[in-house]
Parts: sequence; structure tokens; C-alpha cells
Amino acid sequence: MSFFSYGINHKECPIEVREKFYLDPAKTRSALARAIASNEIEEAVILSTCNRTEFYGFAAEGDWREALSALLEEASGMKKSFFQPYIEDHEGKEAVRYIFRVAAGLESLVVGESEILGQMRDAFRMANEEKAVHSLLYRLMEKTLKNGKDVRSTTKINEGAVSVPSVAVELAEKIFGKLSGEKVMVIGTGQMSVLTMKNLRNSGAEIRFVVSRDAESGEKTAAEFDAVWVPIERWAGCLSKIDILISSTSSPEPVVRVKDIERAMSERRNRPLFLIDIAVPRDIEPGINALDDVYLYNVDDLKNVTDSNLKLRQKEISQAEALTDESVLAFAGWLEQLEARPTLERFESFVDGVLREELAKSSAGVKLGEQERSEIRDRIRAKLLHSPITRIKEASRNGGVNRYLEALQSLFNLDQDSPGKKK
Amino acid sequence: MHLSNILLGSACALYAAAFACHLVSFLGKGGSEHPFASGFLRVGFLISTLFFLEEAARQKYFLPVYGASQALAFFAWSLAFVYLVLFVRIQRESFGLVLTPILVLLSGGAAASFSDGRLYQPDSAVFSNAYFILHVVNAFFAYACFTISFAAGILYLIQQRELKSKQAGRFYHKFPSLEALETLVFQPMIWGALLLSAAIGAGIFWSKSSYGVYGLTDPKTIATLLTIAVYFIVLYLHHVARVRGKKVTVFSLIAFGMILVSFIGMRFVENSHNFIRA
Repeated sequence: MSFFSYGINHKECPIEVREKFYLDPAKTRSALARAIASNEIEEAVILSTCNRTEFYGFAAEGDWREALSALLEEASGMKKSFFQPYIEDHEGKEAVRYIFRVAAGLESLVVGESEILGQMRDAFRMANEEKAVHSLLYRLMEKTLKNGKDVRSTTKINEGAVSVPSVAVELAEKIFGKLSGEKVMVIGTGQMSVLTMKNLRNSGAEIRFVVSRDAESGEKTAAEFDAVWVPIERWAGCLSKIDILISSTSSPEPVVRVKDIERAMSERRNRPLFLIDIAVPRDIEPGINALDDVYLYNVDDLKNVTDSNLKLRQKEISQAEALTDESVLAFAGWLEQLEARPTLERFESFVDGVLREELAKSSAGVKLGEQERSEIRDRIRAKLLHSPITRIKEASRNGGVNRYLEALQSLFNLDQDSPGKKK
Repeated sequence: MHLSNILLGSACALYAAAFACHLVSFLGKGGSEHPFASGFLRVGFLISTLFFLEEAARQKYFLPVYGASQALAFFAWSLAFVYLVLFVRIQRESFGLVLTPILVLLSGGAAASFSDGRLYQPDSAVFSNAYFILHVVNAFFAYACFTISFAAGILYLIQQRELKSKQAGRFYHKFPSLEALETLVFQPMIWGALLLSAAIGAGIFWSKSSYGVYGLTDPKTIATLLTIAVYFIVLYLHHVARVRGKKVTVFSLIAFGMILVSFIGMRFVENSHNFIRA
């Protein structure tokens, strides 16, 4: 009986396989219900994101790997042989460590990313709603989420933008300061430009113009952002009214040329202009970056910034790992104390029984009141139990409590039991 | 060694320590400010204040600012005052890295060129005149504001170069945004221009009341008038003509170059501001 983690993730499993195992909320709820109905699984949380589909929980008895493999097979409709090579699983303390590391962002594709913490929280909430979480996993998830939060507030592991849309916002803020109504024009309405627009708008910029060849899709996107649709032939006229331009058309030739920007910069009195070219082939002539106060970033340039931010994050990993290890150790200590409690209770009860019996025998011919007998019993009990209980508590904090418990059980013939056992 | 010299040397050492902290912070992985930098800077500022109190008591003048050493020391003091008191906000924005070496140079130069002042006994009535005090205080605070503006201009050019290079290096991560830097180029510049105008006005009245002439033909006065004219042109370009970005920032640096000419360069030209030679 121990904690486990089981599933597939981005480390070994390619996206073509991962996407087949994505469980939407309905599938997740159903899988949770089946998991706790099984004899092998006591408690469970299922985390399913674009980078991982994993089961975390507490196993009761039997082969939990087999049970979870069957469950995954059923939930995804894929044969076991298809996903088995990609499975990553952990048991006991290693599983606890792994779950802590996932929430801390240390196992993420983009180290330190914050989304995973929210996804973990949602997964925990869902499992709780499905009554798939009891005391042990509840405590583990609680501590895991707290550690994830602490890691991000104490270290800089989640600082710096690491995706194209968020880098665009970071760069815009390096040019214009905190965004507050900077005007944005978008040429082309591809998925990436829409994502970038969303990020810019959420950060305070105002999407002013949406430029496209197709009036219908352009007007639809413009309406979504409270912007104005501009036909592709007329975009240059809007240049002096904007601060940020995003271009992502499928045009084989550059759409934005040096002379367009030169003219606009003169009208703008050199007010800085930020151009983001996320098209391949490029939409904006690279020579534009040579103009004063014009900042042009294409996909590769944005990736450079992403890489630089990632390097900064890497430096924070060791600190985040140290914090996480501390939390794992503290949790393991708590768990050992919990595991030790039944044995200690039985040992105490054994000592109490012996004392009661022996005192009754030895005081048969002596005039001893109940209170005196009780005082003698308490004194002997305290002297007998103080040292072993202190040792066991210390051992449970530092690890290695099991040998003491085994010794107690074996020497005094105490019955074995442990927490979490199905009643 | 004279007490004043010890005070100046200590202030310089503390400014150097503040610079070292800023440098460590800048080169390290932490934020742009070091927890001890501000402390060293504040203590250095207090010690340089003690220097002026000590000098005032010794020389029996309210404002003992004559000669290169005291002028440099007072410039450093004004700069630290403007930085620590008037523009508190910029203390968080990597300015210490640029300003502390300037303070080290100024206070170091003051300490190195310090003499106990017995060689020269200025005319008490002339130097205790209220116009003179206004003239000196306004001028030095104006220069301090222009220095802050200059530092912001340097940071602006570094940051815009960093953004152009697209490498997202240390400067990119640790320096403020271009917009914030541009504000910090022009906000102190407005204060500097107003204070320098007031200093010129007070200087003219002081010259008239003390020497009977307005002193407008003095080389330093001419250089300062030219400087203020250039600053007003730069401010006009930015605030009225709405010119923004690199060009106008470069103009602001050129204007600061004229400050250096009028403040330091004029010491090598015979003029009525060289009180030691007077």
C-alpha cells in the first residue's frame, strides 16, 4: 500500500500519441469513478493536459499498475501495447517526489510554467467532487499545491515569457512600459496572431485594426476584439495611428516594406513602433529594423528571447528543487508519523495492560488505594515509554522509522496494521 | 589628515561600496537593486552633508562652495540629494549602476583636490548674499537634475540597442522600458531647465548687487546661457513638436555635453566664477 503516479507525459511520449490520451472532464470523471471502484486503487486524481495524462493516488492492494493500465486502455480506447513503452510510473516516496515536482513545474516541458499549478488544482477539485480523494491524497495534494505556489513565489522559475504570444507582450512592455491603450493592428488572422492579440489585449493594449483579404473572416475577428476591419489594400494608411503591428499572412512576398515604415515614422515623429512578423515566409522586410525607433521581431527573434528567458529559468531550477525536496521530506515525515501511530498505540496499550495486571497482582497484599496505584502506573509508564516514543518520533521525522516499528512489532508481538487500509 | 578630507574620502568609499553592490546585483541573477546599495549611498550622503557642516563651521560661511574641490563635493551632494530625495522612484530602476560611479568620481575628485581653504579668504559680504546662495543652490541642483537626465539617456540608448540586437541579454532583463527611461530623461530635464533659469536670474542680480554689473559677458555666463538655450530647444522638440525616441535622446546627451563644458571646461578659462583666482 503506497502512493503511486502512473501515466504518459511529454518526456518520452510524442504528441501524436499524447493527444490520443487526452481525457476531457467527462472522461476524467468517469475514469475516476472506475478507479476508486477497483480493489487496487484507494484514492486517485487524474491530471490530463496537452503534455501529460497521469494518475496520482494511493494504492490499496494487488497490482495497481495492471489496474491503471486497464483503466487507461478503456478510457482512451487504445491497446495497452500501444502506450506501454511510454508509461512513466513511480511508487512510494518516489511517487510523492514526482507529484511535488510536477506541481512545481520541474517536470514541465517549459520549466517553471505556471499553468500546471492551475491544472493540478482543477484536477484535485474534480477528484474531490467525485469523492476519489480521502485523507492521505488530500494531504498530499494540499502540500503539493502549496509547494508549487511557494516555489514560484520564492524563486524566479516562472519569470520571463516563454511562448511567442507572451514574448510579444514582454517586448511591447520593454518598449512602451506597462501597456495602457497602445494601439495594435493585425495583418492576417491566423491562429498565432489571434493568440498574440488576446495576450496583448489582456495586458492592456487596444486592438484597433484587423486587416485581411477576406472581409467575412476579418470582420468576424475584428468584432471579437472590438476592432475595425480594414481591407488589405488600405492597411498602410493606418500605420501612423498604431504602436504595434502584427503580421501573419501567407503572402509569398513581403507585405510591409521599408518605404511604408519610413513614411509612417516621419508622421509619427519617431514615436517607437513595434513590429511582430510571425509569418513564414516573412511579411515584413528585414531592413526595417535598421530604422531608428522601429523594433522588428520575426519568429526566430522571438524564439531568441524565449531561449534567453528559459536560460534564466534554468538557473533557478536548483533552488526550486531544493525547496521541493524539503517539502517532500516534510511530507514523508508526516506520513511515517502517521504510519507509526497504530503501532505506538498498540505498544502503549500493551504496556498499560502489563502494568495494570502486574500492579494488581503485587498490590494484592499491600494497602494501596486506586489513586496511589494509578500514580505508580503513570510513573512507570512514563519512564518506560518516553525513550522509545521519542526515538520513534525522531526517526519518523528523519526517515527510517520502519525498523523501529518492525522491532516493536516483532519483540512485543503486536498486530500489524497501517493507515489507508480499506475497511 | 584634515577632518574634511577624511569625511570626503569616507563618502567616496561609501559611494564606491554602493557601486560595487549595484554591480554585483547587475551581474548576478537577482533583481536590479541590491539590499545594501541604498544603505551605503544614504550613509555616504549623510557623511558628505557632515563635510559641508564642518566646512561651514570652519570657514564661517553658510555655503562654503568655492574652488574645484568644494564645487565637486557640492555637485556630488546635490546629485545624491536629487537621486535619494526628489526622484525616489528611479532608485528601483538600475540608475544606481550609472549614478554611483559618477558620485565616486565627483567625491573622489573633491577629496583628491581638497585643500584646507586657508589659501583663500573670500569676501564674506559678497558670499553671504541671498542671491549668491540662491544662484549656487539652484545651479547645482539643476546640474544634478541634468545628470539624472543624462544617466537615463545613456540607459535609454543601451536598452534600445539591446532591443535592436534582439539578444535579450542582461541589459534587456534588468533595465526599465524605453518609455520609462524617456520619461526619466525629460522629467528631470524640465526641473533642471527651470532651476538653471532661476540660477542665471539670481546670478545676474547677485552680480549687479555685489559688483555693480550684470556680468552677462562673463564666459561662464555665456556658456550657461547657450546650454540653457540648447536644453529649451530639446524640451521644445519633445514636448511641443512631439519628437520622440532615439534622436531626441541623443540631443539631450549633447546638451549635457554643454553642461560639462560650462561647468568644468570654463574652469580653464579666465572668468568671474573662478573664485580661487579672484
